Order: sequence, then C-alpha cells, then structure tokens
Amino acid sequence: MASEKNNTQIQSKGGLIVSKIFAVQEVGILIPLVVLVLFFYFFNHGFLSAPNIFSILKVMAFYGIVGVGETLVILGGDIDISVGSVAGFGAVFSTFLMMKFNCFGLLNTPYEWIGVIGFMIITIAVCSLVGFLNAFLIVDMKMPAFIVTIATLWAVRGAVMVVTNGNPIYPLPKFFMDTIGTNAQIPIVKVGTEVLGISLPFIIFILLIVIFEILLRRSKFGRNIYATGSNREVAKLAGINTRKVRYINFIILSMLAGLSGMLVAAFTRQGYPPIGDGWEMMIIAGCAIGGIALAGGYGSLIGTLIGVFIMNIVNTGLVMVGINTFLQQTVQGIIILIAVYADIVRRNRKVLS
Amino acid sequence: MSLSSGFYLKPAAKTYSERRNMVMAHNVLEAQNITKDFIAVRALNNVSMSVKSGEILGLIGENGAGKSTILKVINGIYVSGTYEGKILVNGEEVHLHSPHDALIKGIGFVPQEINVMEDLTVAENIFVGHLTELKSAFLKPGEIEKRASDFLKHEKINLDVKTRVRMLSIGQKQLLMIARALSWDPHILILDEPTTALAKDDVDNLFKIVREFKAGGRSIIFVTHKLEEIIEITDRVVILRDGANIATYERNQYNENKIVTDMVGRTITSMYPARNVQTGEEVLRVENLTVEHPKIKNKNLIENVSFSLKKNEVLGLVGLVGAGRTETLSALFGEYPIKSGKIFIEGKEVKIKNSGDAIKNGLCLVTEDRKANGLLMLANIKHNIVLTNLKKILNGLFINSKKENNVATTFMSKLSIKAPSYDTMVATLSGGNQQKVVISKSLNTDPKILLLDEPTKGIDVGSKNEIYNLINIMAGSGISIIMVSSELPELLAMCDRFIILAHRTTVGELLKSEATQETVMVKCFA
Ligand SMILES: Nc1ncnc2c1ncn2[C@@H]1O[C@H](COP(=O)(O)OP(=O)(O)OP(=O)(O)O)[C@@H](O)[C@H]1O
Ligand SMILES: [Mg+2]
Repeated sequence: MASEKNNTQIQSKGGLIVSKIFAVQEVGILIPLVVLVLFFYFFNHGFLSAPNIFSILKVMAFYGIVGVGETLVILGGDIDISVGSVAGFGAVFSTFLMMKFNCFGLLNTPYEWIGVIGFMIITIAVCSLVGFLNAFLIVDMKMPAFIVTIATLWAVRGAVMVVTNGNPIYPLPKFFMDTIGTNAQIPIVKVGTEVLGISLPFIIFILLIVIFEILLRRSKFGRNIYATGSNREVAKLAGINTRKVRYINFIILSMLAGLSGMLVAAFTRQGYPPIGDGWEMMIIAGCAIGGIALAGGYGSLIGTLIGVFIMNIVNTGLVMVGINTFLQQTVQGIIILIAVYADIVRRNRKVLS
Repeated sequence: MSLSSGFYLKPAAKTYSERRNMVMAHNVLEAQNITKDFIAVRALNNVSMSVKSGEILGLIGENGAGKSTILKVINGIYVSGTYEGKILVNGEEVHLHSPHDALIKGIGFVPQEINVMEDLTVAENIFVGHLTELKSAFLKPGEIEKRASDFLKHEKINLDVKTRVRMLSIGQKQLLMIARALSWDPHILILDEPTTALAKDDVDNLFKIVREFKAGGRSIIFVTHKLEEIIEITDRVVILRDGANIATYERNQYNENKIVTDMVGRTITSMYPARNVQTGEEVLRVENLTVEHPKIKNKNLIENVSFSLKKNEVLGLVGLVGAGRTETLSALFGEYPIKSGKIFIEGKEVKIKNSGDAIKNGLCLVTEDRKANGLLMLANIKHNIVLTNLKKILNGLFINSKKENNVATTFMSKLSIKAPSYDTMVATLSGGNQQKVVISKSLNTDPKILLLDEPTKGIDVGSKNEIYNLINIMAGSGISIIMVSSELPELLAMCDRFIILAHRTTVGELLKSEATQETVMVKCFA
C-alpha cells in the first residue's frame, strides 16, 4: 500500500483525481461488485430496473447502518454478534411503547410525532445499555467478545419474544409508518403510479459513512480506534484510553442497531419480532468482503459500504435469476468466499512481491 | 554427535557427518549473485557469500543493509524464484521453497524476531516439528518432556522443559529458538542477531554452544551489531552495506576501525561522544516504591525502590537480569498498580495510575520489546510516530496532514530512519530502523523525563553513535533520562550516575567517577 501512495505522489501532476481514486485500496473490491452486477443483469435484465435498484439501496441501508457500527467495533479489535437481536429489540420495543402509551396520549393527533420521536430516542438509549453491558463484560470482565455477544444475542432475542409473545405489533402510528417510513424519500423517478426515490435509511447510511469515514481518517477518535485494534499494548503505552475507545465502539454499534431495527419496523409497518434475525452474519461478512481485517486495526468504511452492497446484490440477484431456493444459500456462501479470496490475492500481490 | 535417545532424526545430518570426514574445509553453503527486490526497495544487489565447513562467519552491516534478507533467501523464506541468483549447498544448486526445505538440507535458522508459541511449554515448542517422526501416533505421558530435557542437557542449554513459554524472559525465549533449530541437527546454523536480547551470562553460554557446534566441523553464520562479539568468536567476516558486498576479512586481517568504516561508510571518531552538561535540580524522586506482581499472589515485582533524578541527568539503572530494571521503568510509567511508596515530580507528589497519567506528567517510555508493545506493525511510519501526541497535529477536531507529515519528516531525518517514505509500513523496515521509529514515537511527546529500556537494542554502530549523540542533545536541552541497558560499556560511558538494583530493590548508588565494570559488578552481586 505504501508504494501505491508513493506512486500517486510521483504521478500527481497528471490525472490526480484518477490516480487518487485508484490508490484507494477499496477500489479493488469494486471489481467483484461490477462483475456480479453484470452477471445478474445478463440472466435477468430486470435486475437493473429502477424499482429493483431502489429496493436494493433501501434494503442494504438497513444492514449498512449497523455495518458502520460493526466496522468501528472490528477496527477496534473486538467483534459484536448481538446486533441482529438488538435491531429486533429496537423494532419491537419502540413500537410496543408507542402503542402502549398511545404516543404520550397524542396518537392520531397532529402532535403524534412527538410521541414517535420521543419513544425512538428512549429506545436508542435503552439499546445503548446493551452496548454498555457488552463492553462491560468484554472490556472490564475480560470475557471473550465472541462468547459474550452470542450470549446477549440470545438473551435480547428472548426479551423480544417475551415482550411480544411472538406476535407482531400493529397498527402503528401513521407518522411512524408514513413520514419516517414510506414517504420519507427524495423522489427520483415515477414508475407507473409509484414514485421511487432515495429512502431515509439510505440517506442516513450514507451520512453515517461520510461522517465516520472522516472521523476515522482524520480525527483523534479514529486514530485511537485503529491503534487500539492493531496493538492494544502499544496504544495503551501511547497514552490512549483503550477502555474508553472500546466502550464507545460497542455503545455506538448498539445504538445504530436499534435505530436500524426501528427503520425496518417503520417500512414494514409492523413491529415484527424476527426483525434482525441473521443480520450479524450478513454484516460481518460484508465487513470482511470490504477488506476490514477481522483481527482489527485495518480497513475503512468505504470497504464496508462496498461489502454490504455486494452481500445485498447477491441476495437479491440470486432470487431474481431464479436459482432454486434451496441452492441460494450455498451459492451465497461460495460467492462470499470468491470475493474475499480475490481481495486477498490482490492485496498479497501488493504487500509482498 | 547424534543423541542416544534418538532425538535427532533427520537423515541429512548423518550423511553429512560421513561426508565431512572426507572433504576438508570446503564451501558448505554458497549464495551467488543474489539480487532481491521489494516493491520500492532493492534489498540485495548482486550479493555473494559463502561459508566453509567448521567456520563461524560473521555477517555485519548497518540496519537495513540486507543481512536478514540474504539469510531469508538462504533459508527458503523468500522462495526460490522470487530473487535472482543461485544457492549452492555442498556445491550443488538447490531450490528452496520453504524453511522446511532448508532444514532438510541441513540449514537451521534462528530469525531476528522472537517467534515462539507462547502458550505451549518449552518441550512442546522444541518438539513441534518433530511430532511426525515419532513411531507411534500417540504420545506417552512425559515422553516429549523427557526427550526434550535430555536434549537440552546434551546441548548444555539451561531451560525448564515444563515451563509455559509465556513465562520466559526474552533471553530465555531466544535460547529456546536456538534449541529448536539445533533439534534438527543442522550442519549450518544461522543466527540472526541472537545476542541482542541476551544478558552477558547467556551470551557466554551461547558462545559455548556455538563453539561446540563448530568443533563438530559444522558452520555458523552469525549476525550481530556488537563488534566485540565479531572479534571474539568469528573466523571471517562479510560486510554488507546498502544491499551490496563491501568487504570480506579473514580473522588475521581484522581491524576494528576498518570494519566500522566499511560498515557505516564514514569514520566514527568517538563512539561515545562526551557531554558537557551540568545537572540541575531534582525533577523526580521515587520513595520506597513497591508494586505487586500482576499475576502471582503475595509477590512483588519491585520492593522499596528509591532514587532520585536531576534535571539534565542521565541516570543508569544497573543490575543483573531479573533485578527489576524494566519493572521499575514500567512501574513509573503506570503499568502496574502501586502498592506503596511515593513518586514526586518537580517536588510535587503525583499519582500515576496509567500511561496516560505518566505522559501527562512528562514521562515517556521506550520499551524493550518493540514487537509486543513498541509498534503498530501494520501501520506506516508516520502513523506510528504521531500516535503518542495527536494533540500536536490536530487542527480543531481534525488531523492536519501537513503538520503530521512534517512531524514524520523531522524525525525521519533527525534519527536517519532508512525507508522509502513515511508511508512505508513499519513491518517491512529492518530491525534497527524499527527501533528508531520507537524512539521517535517517544520523543514526539516532548517528554521531561525519558525512560529508555535497551534503547540501542539491535541498532548498528553508526546509529548507536547517533543515538548517543541524541541522548546528549536531549540531556542538554533539559530532558532527564533514565536508561537501562544490558551493554555495560554503553551505560558506563553515557550515564552521570548509577543506581544499582538487585533482587528487585535498590541496593546502592555509584557516581560516574567511581563506576567501572568491576565496581558495578561487585555491587550487583553484593
Ligand atoms: N517485506 C519487505 N518489504 C519491503 N521492504 C523490505 C521487506 N523486508 C525488508 N525490506 C527492506 O530491505 C532492506 C534490508 O532489510 P534487512 O531486514 O535485510 O536489513 P538488516 O541488514 O537485517 O538490518 P537490521 O540490522 O536492522 O536487522 C531494508 O531497507 C528493508 O526496509
Ligand atoms: Mg536484520
């Protein structure tokens, strides 16, 4: 990577922007992305139709928002498996409160939004406690992150089931379903009677990517995370409070997971208990494909963006080309392996010689 | 030489011993015209060297000269085909595709960086490559311990086979790596800077092992930055500089000045530059400092350590291995909870609970083990150097890359760090250059008190000289320094005063005028 940057310095007079773009190591992962898109397009031209594109962008945003937090945690040298359950908890807990307390008694009034937003904030705060608990067990009690978060994955999913008895929560406040859900979008095209556009979750996702990518690259917050993840001893000796860094990562992640779960509830118009089921693997796989070193300390959110994108394209694409449903998961697994392998080969060629 | 217990099982070694009796002093190993490129660097340019049977060959040169690289070529770590040139073993060309290939050809290699399996025992570490040679698929309880301990006894290496390797000191780990290489009964043993981490006793012990090895007609390639070791033990020396052959001398042609000049490409007039600085007021006082062992109950890491440090002073902590020198520095730096005792900085008592507190109080630590707690290996030089003081390069919330680059450039030229650019990953630097990055990192905090734990470990003569100059400049600019080093001559020359540690406590003090090798050693053993 080092020499890459040198090259750009040398050639910087010429195509500065072009060479800069290609110096970003994540660009390499774009290749499997493009190949996959072309592949699915070849088998089903509908793959690149407007409705499908916008639907992919929306769905990937749900994962992506969590992916941003998971990237922080992984970069800091930890891992969090509990995110799917926390998302489910966010979805169910927020809607449960809204309906139970009739949005502070404002349900179906013009001030309904106060209740909706209020309970969303409360939910995010409660979700942050899960992150805090994870961090406490992992950082202070020195238990392995993998095991701790598997335990919270189950425990939180159990709590979701207890709250709901396994039944979905609906109807939901109009403000929640429409203003935050379906209608919150920047309209782009009209297909038939339906207006398609960039949805709120996608906007949030991109904002998060931009903000955190800048922080990671250019702020003390970011440098501390990378240092903690690459070598905790070195980071400590450099005076970095690695405990704080790791706590913050876990807390941010749980808050984002809760937020994402609520957005899913808004879009699907119900607080559905299995929301978030299996997300952890989608998201961690997305990070890995995006070149985030699972051992910590290396990678960037641009990688996560592309990685999550690939995961979702594969998901949707396999359905659209009509592969036997039973085979889909297998093919998905194989595609992940190929994408990661391609990245490793590409990177090895650069680091070694 | 084969052990009766049948520990050595490689056939190559036996055929070799037979052949040895027929041919005298031939070239057992030759590297011809090796050229090796990395992305931005040519590490070796047409380098040739050979080793005769029954010879100890010294391989020396500055940090980054290419010593480790040529050894990795010879050892099959850099696979045949990734470099130009030929490798010949006993006159026949070989193509090595892995270190295991090299072992089969009788080439044993002990790399520069410690690599042991921390959670296995000494016996398991030694045995790890030999398990396939056992007759039965199952291990008898105690079998490998028994064999390993017989083997160690035979090689006169003093290690307890049942100890978990995590518990060993760096020096012991180094011995373990040597033992592991010897267990293959190689006829060429390659030692890449084996003595950097060793105390005097261990070095003597190592030399005994090496001489015995040689007495069996076998050969050794020995890399070191310590000239006295070259003089003491080698029969011939090959000097590399900037990836090229500079000179080869036979033992009877040895001339220290000439060797140093060849190595660094300039003459060094005084190895230990004089310092003309008056020490000032007391900046640090430690009173009866006691810290508990973090893992073992009812045991203290250090007990009742007391000393003081003045402004502009360079204070040496002397003691044998295990006397508590590193522990004292770490304790000052807040790494262990303090059980009792007080620390005063500029007259005020301070509480140092973690490294953050230590840095705030103007302390800075250069650690001994750069791989474990010195460097972010996969990050580049720049990011490592600025890490300790991000405040210095912040513009509001964000890092100012111009300032960042400036800091990196300044240190790279000040300490002459040899690398293509500050964007180079530190893992690809030579050992000595890594050490310079570690030192830069610490100086970047603008410390009042600098704690140096083995600051010249693995550093070439030229750079050592630069570091001594740097120490003088720092002391002159008002920094106070506490220094630990296993190289007594270096300490004696560089320090104003000495605190003697023994059995984890302070036992005495010597002024520069009183301190000689003898007086120091007498106090250490008292
Ligand atoms: N994997 C690598 N990638 C890029 N450059 C490398 C790599 N390994 C070594 N180098 C470079 O090759 C040169 C020779 O390094 P080498 O490790 O052989 O030096 P050395 O003589 O052993 O030094 P030291 O005394 O410090 O151990 C150095 O400039 C180093 O930075
Ligand atoms: Mg080396």
